[in-house]
Parts: sequence; structure tokens; C-alpha cells
Amino acid sequence: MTLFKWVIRSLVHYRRMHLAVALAAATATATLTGALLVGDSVKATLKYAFDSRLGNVTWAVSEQERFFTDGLSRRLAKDNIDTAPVLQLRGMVTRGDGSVRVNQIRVLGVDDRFFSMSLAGKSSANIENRTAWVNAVLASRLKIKKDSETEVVLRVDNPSALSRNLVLAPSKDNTIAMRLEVKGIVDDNHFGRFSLEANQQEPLNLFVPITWLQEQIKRDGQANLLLINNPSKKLTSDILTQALNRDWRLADAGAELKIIGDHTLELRSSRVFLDHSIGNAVSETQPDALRILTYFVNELRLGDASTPYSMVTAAESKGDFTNVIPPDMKDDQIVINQWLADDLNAKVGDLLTLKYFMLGGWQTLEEAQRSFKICRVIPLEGAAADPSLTPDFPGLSDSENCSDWDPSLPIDLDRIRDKDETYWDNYRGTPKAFITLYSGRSMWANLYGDLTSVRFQVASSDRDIIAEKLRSRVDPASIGLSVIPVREIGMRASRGGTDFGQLFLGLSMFLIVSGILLTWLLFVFSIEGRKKETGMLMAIGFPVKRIKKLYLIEGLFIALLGALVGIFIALVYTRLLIWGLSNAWQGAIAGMAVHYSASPMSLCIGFISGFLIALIAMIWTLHRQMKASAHNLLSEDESSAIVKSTARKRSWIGWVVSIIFLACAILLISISNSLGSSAMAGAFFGAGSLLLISIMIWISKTLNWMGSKPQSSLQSLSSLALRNSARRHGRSMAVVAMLACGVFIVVAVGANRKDHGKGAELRTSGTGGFALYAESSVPVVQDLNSVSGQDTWGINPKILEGTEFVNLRVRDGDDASCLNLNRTQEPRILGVSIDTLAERGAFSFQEIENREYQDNPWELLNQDLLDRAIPAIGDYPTVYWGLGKKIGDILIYHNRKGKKIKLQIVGMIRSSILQGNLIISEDAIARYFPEVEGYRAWLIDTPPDRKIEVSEHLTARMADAGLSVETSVERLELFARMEDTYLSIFLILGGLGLILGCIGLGLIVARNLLERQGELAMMRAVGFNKGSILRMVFYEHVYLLVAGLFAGLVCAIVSVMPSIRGATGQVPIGLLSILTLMIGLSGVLWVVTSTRITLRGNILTPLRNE
Amino acid sequence: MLKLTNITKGYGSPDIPGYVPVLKSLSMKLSAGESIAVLGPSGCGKSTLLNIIGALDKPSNGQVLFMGQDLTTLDETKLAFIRNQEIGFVFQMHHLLPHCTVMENVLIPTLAYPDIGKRESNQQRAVEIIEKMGISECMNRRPGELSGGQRQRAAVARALINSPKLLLADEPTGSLDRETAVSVMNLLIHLNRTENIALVVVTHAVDLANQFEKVYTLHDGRLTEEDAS
Repeated sequence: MTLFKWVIRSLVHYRRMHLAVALAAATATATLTGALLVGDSVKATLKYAFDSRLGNVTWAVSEQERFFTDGLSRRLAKDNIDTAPVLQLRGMVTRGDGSVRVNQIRVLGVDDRFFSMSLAGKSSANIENRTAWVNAVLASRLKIKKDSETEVVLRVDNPSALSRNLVLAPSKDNTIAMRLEVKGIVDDNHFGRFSLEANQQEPLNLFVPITWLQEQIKRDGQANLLLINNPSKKLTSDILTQALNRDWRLADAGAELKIIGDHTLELRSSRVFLDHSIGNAVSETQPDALRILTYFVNELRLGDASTPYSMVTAAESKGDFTNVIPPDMKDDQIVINQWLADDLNAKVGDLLTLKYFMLGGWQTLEEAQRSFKICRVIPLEGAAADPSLTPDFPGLSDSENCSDWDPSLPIDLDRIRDKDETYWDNYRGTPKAFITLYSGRSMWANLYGDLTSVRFQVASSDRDIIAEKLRSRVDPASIGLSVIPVREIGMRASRGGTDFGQLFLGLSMFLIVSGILLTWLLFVFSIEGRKKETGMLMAIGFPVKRIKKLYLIEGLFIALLGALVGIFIALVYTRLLIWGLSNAWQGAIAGMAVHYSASPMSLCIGFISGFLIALIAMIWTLHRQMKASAHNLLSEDESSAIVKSTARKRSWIGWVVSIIFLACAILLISISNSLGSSAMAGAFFGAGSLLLISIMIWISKTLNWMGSKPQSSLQSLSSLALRNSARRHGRSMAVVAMLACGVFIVVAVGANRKDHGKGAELRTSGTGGFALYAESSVPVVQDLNSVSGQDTWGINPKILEGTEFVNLRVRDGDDASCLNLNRTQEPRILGVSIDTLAERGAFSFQEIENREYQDNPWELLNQDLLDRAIPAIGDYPTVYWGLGKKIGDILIYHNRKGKKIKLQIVGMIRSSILQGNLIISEDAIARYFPEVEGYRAWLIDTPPDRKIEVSEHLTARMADAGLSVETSVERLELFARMEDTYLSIFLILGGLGLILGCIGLGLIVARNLLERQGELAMMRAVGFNKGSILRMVFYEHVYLLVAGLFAGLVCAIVSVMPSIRGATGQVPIGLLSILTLMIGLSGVLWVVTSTRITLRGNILTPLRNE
Repeated sequence: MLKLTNITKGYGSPDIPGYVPVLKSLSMKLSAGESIAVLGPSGCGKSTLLNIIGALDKPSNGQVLFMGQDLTTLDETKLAFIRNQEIGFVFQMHHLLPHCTVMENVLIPTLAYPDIGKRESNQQRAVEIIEKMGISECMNRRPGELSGGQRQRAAVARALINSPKLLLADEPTGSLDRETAVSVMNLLIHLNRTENIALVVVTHAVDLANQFEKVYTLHDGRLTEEDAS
């Protein structure tokens, strides 16, 4: 006999027991590995989503609200940079028959260059004019079948040359509708999922030919997105930036250097105002250039006489213009033309008042006025009679008559006189008055520029030289032409998101621990079952170390087998989990279709961890089991153990520790009121955990005490059962601990499942008390609270009676809600008028940076922070989970001018309908993100009984804006679905863990009874019938069950106390009661089953065996 | 008091090869207060006979009349009651509950059919029996704190708590040293004589068996009465 043979013989002989141990180890391994593989699968799926949305695109130049020429693309191509211009617009689409409408789609004007950057590297079909292709998700929403042609009506945002935030921007034709034939579906390989946003959710993409779309929105040869790939991998960000600096032209900034005379060039912008950076470049390179700012004034008044709606030019006294603006003209003086002087009967020295709308942004109709002293009256000729001094104000310049003007500002057409019409007919937008540039800028400089044109007195042949000089002084980033490393950002986002491996490890922890406990328990039984063999080996002189070694070698084989089997089970278990994630648990991954993937690394980690866990459990068991003497092991006398435990019972240390833990729990609860809400929740959970430990020690000591009170007499079967409960102290405590921990975790976690509908009307709830939430596909510039705003959209004020809107500006960004599994870099920003939320006391704050603002935390957004950071507020899930940030942390944004903008988190509201966004003040969004136009989201207060009517009415009336309205509760539930699903998964996996724990309980019962077979047979011999014995055994374990359930439940209730007390925390008492009852019943079932199986044999057998 | 008529007992089925006959048409009688020792080699069926007498097992054939009742016809509940009230058992292994004191162990049989009214008297009787067994100093000790002889005396005390008419002892001295074995056997015989309890003891020890009124040898499934002298 060799050691090896001995081990093999033992393995074969005890194969059943070993198999059970191996299976328990396999369960732990499978659960652990399965969790890691789910992580792998989610990662692989995110990688797939990332690859298919970006294809081979490495960088992007994204302008969104601005347009560059496709010449830029051609010039970059000459520098061997592979680019694809895209015209990307927001829009909405309706089936031709009107049966389905899908809002907030992305309309992509593309050509073959775009598709060449997809994974497939080519277009899946030829997209012709007036036809469109859609991606799979949009096809599904539109109910378009494969290989079928469907007519749709597409409505796209019609970008305005002038920012819609300015009062001068036209209010009509903000969208353009067109009828198209959808020819097919673009798959993921051909850029069906194309998006620059780091989100695993499939976007709603509709593809049309870029040239055709350019024609539709009258922007021939223009695009607003440039995709760049790097097939040779030689291109770097620096090389690209240098190329962009070299290749961009003024036209890409919407500027144009026109020849307006033999010796005059004029720089104008299609965006009305020349960008500040271009204006600065003019000052630096061409100090002699004439800088002009022309603006539309509402009225020129002199006493009772007034001239309505006129242009006034502010300029320098240079070149030809010295005849108009005298060199010595002061800033409070004005020059008027003869027509105006005649109209107002004005003369030099009179005080002329200008009334104009301030250009504060957001289409604020705030009228200002300033008076100037007339210093000169000039004839309407020469430089003063130049209509081109007025820029091409959209809605004004192109109008035949004054009555056709369409700026969004309220023009009273009745004020326009015939002479005004005649002036327009004869002189168009020729300014009627002139002021100094300084004065003009002080009134009309705005975020978009402070010049409307610049004139250069140079030979027309120098146009290119001037253009190049200007261009070279302007950083293209300042006009939105900056290179965004979209691939790098996307990679960071997809890697930085939630680690689902770890998440599932957490969710499966109870199951894993149960598996480990079961392994330990079975191995304990296996070793205990061989104690005579152990005793014999000791008796014949085997050193304990050698015996341990023998058993450990067996254990190694068992652990190896368990880990190996566990890996195979894990492969199946992972697929089951993924099936769950694709079906019932879809909410956990925001509806993403997870693809199965298993990395060798995870399999190795799972295998090694499973093996080591099993082995450690075995080593610990052997260490504990080998302490008995050979005599004790051979005699099977457990009395010595009893004596030992009696000695332990006298220990007072346990009581002291129990009291300390109890005191700590009480202390935590007592100080919790002074903590923030999240800290309070943590304090209560901590208190619950401490209390659990305290109670466990108390139960342990009580069991010891019960087992050691010889003075008390046994008066009934139940008292004998109680005594028996205390007998196998370790096992009894294992039962109590398993149940207590199980109930504690299940109830404490389950209590977080909330009914979001309850209390939704409260301002402090996650809905902010708002009944509805709406978003539009295109910006809406009007204030829907105003009569004119409602009138613009044909909204019936009667239906909206009692309805109020909180308007939200939207700066596009990544969705940082739990629905996005990526770690977002630049989350979407909402700009809100702080007062509108503060007055309502909307939402409740979980944490704020500065307690001085406790009374009105929304005022935090008005703070002046160091380093010019913008104060921002987000809800807790967004800030903490979505962004991985905390109070005080900074987020860096890049605005369209390429400037870095810092946002500092100053407060967190509780989980809300604003999840996924950061909230800043409306003023801040205007100042730092001037590209944001109009409103695109609304919080709506409306009487609860009318919310359906209001919702339907708004959706119908504002269909052209692509308005989608949902109830706040629906939106809250959408966000809560993920949390609820995690809770479900936890409860299910926890339930499996409890089942495993209950199997352990059954094994303990069986083992106890098997060990006591002789004793039970004796009891039957002395007259106890089977029922009595069954009852006694049942009582024994029910005491333990009840103790465990009680301990777990009490501590769980303490830990969820804040939820119970909270206004919005609706603890699902019914669900938790059922869970606790089920755990209890499951325990009872295992006790009864185990007892029946163990006691069903012949009562004589144990006696005979003796 | 006890009459066994044509008792047959075997393991397995008589029709199937491998059937092991243990008792073959065995008959015997036992009167109240009588003491019998059953001798025989290991595996001859002594314990099986004792289990049949004590209503722990049923014969394949034959009749067991105990105090006028045929035990073979009674259900388990009635048999349990008879075992509890009329029969006392002493095993080779004492089967004392290790976590209970001697006193508590002795009182265990009274818990099978608890009678609150008898609680005091049961306690009183337990004390008396324990004193009689000579282990009164061990009354509040646990089995782990007793010697082998003391444990077996405690087991005997437990068998006597319900004042049985018949005391059955299966190798009661098998695990004891010689001196203790003699002491325990003397105790059983003393009880038989002073308490008028019928006593059936299965043993290997011929010298100890000779103290009994009748000595039977079980051989080939049948009982043969030995000459007591």
C-alpha cells in the first residue's frame, strides 16, 4: 500500500460523500465564474455596440448648430486624411398613413464616404434622392418590414443662420417636412447604429443622401459633422489638428470675404454676426479695416415723432466712412440721414432716442433705449446710402415688403407707414442713423459677435492674402472646428462603466457563500464520518500532520473535481443568466441584447478561485477536526465535547462583546438624525448589521446557557427539544446564522423596492410634483407659459387651464442615467430658471455642498465658484453611479468654441425624473453654451385629472416640434426599472442561496439525526412513538429557525428604518412578509423532509449496530 | 406473563436464496418475577429474541403473548405504550443523552406520555431509583462525567422509572470491566428479587448467567434450557 493507493482507495470508497462535497464546491465555482462570465458578456456586448456605432471612425469634427463646407473635407483628403462629411439633423418621422410617429430621430445626410468607415467598409445599398434607409430599431418602431418599401413623412430641424435664441431669428419654417420612400434597413455592420454618443442603446437613425438633404435645407455643400478615420494608424491628433488649422477656410466659419469695389473687400457672415475670434483677428491683422455693426431698432423717436423699425449702423470713422462718422464724433452722438431727419423733423442738436430689443439671448423681449444727440444730418448718398451695411438678417433682408418681415420679435405691422414701405422698396436695409462702434457694441454686442461686417480698403486682388492672414490668426476651435477623439472617448466610456462581473459577484454573493458553506459542511461531515478511521490511524501511530496530509490530498482531488465541474456548470449557468437578462431581467441592462462571451482569463480566475475556496474550507475543517484525541474519536463519546463547551459557557467575553455591539448600534441610530440622508441610510444599515452580530452572540450564549443548566428539570418533550437545540452548538449556530443573514439581506435589500406611484404628487418626490415631462425633437423658442407661445403652436388655453411649464434648455451630451451602461464623459446638461424650481420646492436634496443653502438648495446654482466653475446639480444615481462623481467633483466640458468649461457638482437630489442630466442655471447655459437654442424639455404642472387630456393635446399641437409627453411616474419607473431588476436578480440569486442554505440545514438535520440514531432508537425502545420523536426533532430545529428568522427580521427592520420613515420610501411589507414566510417554510420543509427520511428505517438497526 | 409460541424469525425471504433463519419454532414461557439468562455465541439470534420479547421487533411467524395480549397483532402505537409502561430496556451501550443529567436521563421515559399530575411522583421515584442504583451522588452530573458502571446503572434506573413488569437487558455488561460487570449484574438480580420484576438478560458471561433462575442457550434457532446447577 502506497500513499497514492491509499488516497485512491479512499476516494473510491467514500465516493458518494466526496461527490457531494465536489458538487457543493462546483456550485460555488459555477456561481462565481458565471458572474465573471456575465461581466465578460456585457463587456463584449458593449464593445460590439462601440464598434458598430463608430466603425472605423477615430476622430470627429462636430459642429451641430454650425456648418462647414465640404471643401474642408476635400482639402483634408489632399493631406491624405480620410474623411466623411455628414449632415446630421434632429427630426421626427411619421409613416405615410400617419399610423406611427417616431420623435427624436437622427437624420443623417451621408454618402459612400460615410459607409466606407463602417465595419463593413462599404454601403449596403445605393441611397437615392427622395429615398431613405433606416436602422433596425427605427424600422421596428415604424413597423417597417425587411425588403418592403414604406412611405414616410420626415420632418427635420431647419437650422437658422442666426441663433434662434436671438429675437431677430425667424420664427417660421423651423422645420421642413418631406415625403420619402424607405427602401431598406441598414444593419449594424453598415453603420446602422452610428452614433457619437457613448450609449449602448441603439439610436434612431434615418439615412438620406447628403446632397439631397443639403438641397432641402438650402445649405448646398455644407455639413455639420466630419468623420475621420485612421486606416494607416500614422495619423495622430496633433497631425490632424495641424491639418485642420491649415485646411479650414473662412467659409467654414460661415464668413465670406466679398469684393464690393475695386479697392474694397467686405467680410460678412451668413450667421449675421462675425465670430468674436474673427473680429479679433481683424483687429490684430488689419487695424485699418472698417468695422461695422448694424442692428435693427424698434423705434427712432424725437419727441412725439417716431420712425418704426429701422437699421442703425455703428462704425468706425475710417476710409469712406469718415464722411459718415466724423472723426471727432462722440459716443453719445448720432448721425442721421436726411430721410430720417425729414421724417422726424430732426435737426442737429436734437436728442434722438433709440429703442431696441436687448440681445440677451433666449429671445427675451426686453426693450431698451438710449438717447443720442444728433451731431450731423447727412444726405442719403455715398457710403451712407449703402444697403449692404445691413447684414442678411433672416426673415428681414430677403423680404420684398416690410409686411413680409419674419423675425420672431413682435412687430406691429400697423406701425409701418407707406413711407416706410417706400424706403424699404428704394433703399432696403440702408441704415437711417449712425453711431460710434463703441456705442453700438455697448448696446448690441452679444454672445455670437459684435460686428456684422468689416471692410478693407485694399485691391480686390489681395482678397486671398487678406483671407489667409485672417484665417491664420483664428483658432479653428473657436468656430467649432475642433478635433474630438471620439474613439478614445468611446473606449473610455465603454470601459469605465459598471463592471457587471463585479456587480453579479455582489448579487450572487449570498449564493456563493452558501456554496462555500455547503462545501465546508459536507467536508466536515465527511471527515466526521471517518473519525474512527482517524482515531485508528492516530492509535497506530500516524502523526496528526500526516493524517491531515492524507485527507488534504483527497481534498485536493475533490476541490479540483469541484472546480472543473463548476466551470462546465458555469458555462450553462452564464447562458441561463444571459437568457434572464435578455428576457425577465432586461431592465438590468437597459434592454441591451447581451451576447454570450467567455474570456479564458475569467474561466481561469473562476477555476482557481473555486479550487482555492474549496481547499481553504477543507484545510480549515481539518484543522478543527484533528484536535480530538484518538480515544475520543474511537469511543464516539461526545460527552467530552459537552464538558468543554460547558467550560466555554462560563466565558463572559461574549456577553461583553454583544453589549458593545448593541451599544454601537444604538449610538449609530442616535446620531443618525444629524447625518445626511445617504449617511443616515448607511448608519441604519450599519446599526442593523451590528445588532445582528449582537443578537447572534446573544443567541449563541443563550444556547450555551440552555445546554448547561442542570438544575432545571425536563418537563415535556418540547423542553427536551429545546435542550437538544443547544446540543451541537456549532451546527445550531450555523443554522441560526444562515437564516438570520439570509432574512437580513433579503429583507434589507428587498425593502428598497418602491412603489414609485405613491407620493408622486409630492414636490419632494422623484417627480418633483410635476405630473408630466416632455421633450421635443427640435428646439422650441417660445415660452409655452405665454399666450403668444401657446398661440404660436395653436394650443388651446382652456385645455391648459391650471397648467404651467418649467422650460428646460438642453445642451446635448451623453445620457448619464442608469439606462446607459457606459461611463459617460460629458452628460447632457439642462439649463433651468432656478426660481421656477425653488419656488415650488421641487425635488428633495440628498446631499449639498454648502449647508448654508439648506433652506433653498436650488440657490446653490447661483453661487460664484472658484476657478469660474459652473455649479451643477444632478440626481444621486446620475452623479454617483452614472458619472462616478461626488459632491465637489469637477467635470470638464468642451463648448462649441473649443473652450474647456468646468462644472462642479454642488448638490445631489434624490433619484428623479431628471436622471441622466446635470442641471445648471439658465444664465450659465446661456453664457457658456451659446450654441444651445430654445427649449427642448419641460416639466409640466397640470391638474392630475387632466394630465391625459393635456398630454394628448400638447402632443398633437406640437407634432411639428416632435414633442413627446410622458407622465412623470412613467419616467420615474423607467429609471427605477434597472434598480428594481437588480433587486429581483439579487432576490432570486439570494433565494437560490437560501435554498442552498436550506439544503445545508437539511444536511445538518440529517447528520444530527444519523449521529443520534442509537439515542433515538433507545427513545423508541422506551416507548416514544415515531410521531413524538418527529415532533421533538421538529421542535429542536424550529426553535433555531425561529431564532434565525427573528434575529434577521428585527435587524433588517432596523436597517431599513429610514426607508420606512421616508416620505417616498414605500416598503413593500407584503412582499417582505411573503419572503420571510417562504424562507421559514423552506426551512421547515427541509427539517421535516430530512427527519422523515432519516427516521423511516427500522428502529432496531441502530440498536443492532451497537 | 410472557409466552412465546413457535416463534420463527429470519432475514431475507424464505423463498429466495440467501435467507438467513435466526429463530426456528422457538417457544418459551416466563412467569412474573422470574429471571432468565440467555446464552449463545455471537450472531445466534439472542438480541433478535430479546427484541421480539420487548416488542421492538416482530417474528416472521408465531405468537408473543405478553400479559394476555398478542404483541404480534398490535400496532406500533400500542406497542410503544407497552414498551413504555410495562417493559424496561437496558442496552450494552447506555444511550444516555450526553447533554442531560443523570436525573434527566432517568426521567426521559416519563416524557413519552407526560402526565402533569405525576410529575412530582416521577421525580420522587427517580430519586429513589437513583439512590437504589447507588449513584445518588451523580444525580446532577452528565454522562460524560460518569464511569462506565455508573452510566450503566443510570441506564438501568431509566429502565425502571415507569415500574415495568419485565426488564430486558441486552449484553448489559458487555462494555464493562469484570468488577463493574458483576456489580451491575448483581444489581439486576437484586431488582428481580426485591421488586418482583421479571428479568431476561442476554449475555456471553456464563458465570454471571448462573445466578439466574433459568439459563437458556440459543443454538441453531432453538432454546435449550441448561442445568442451573
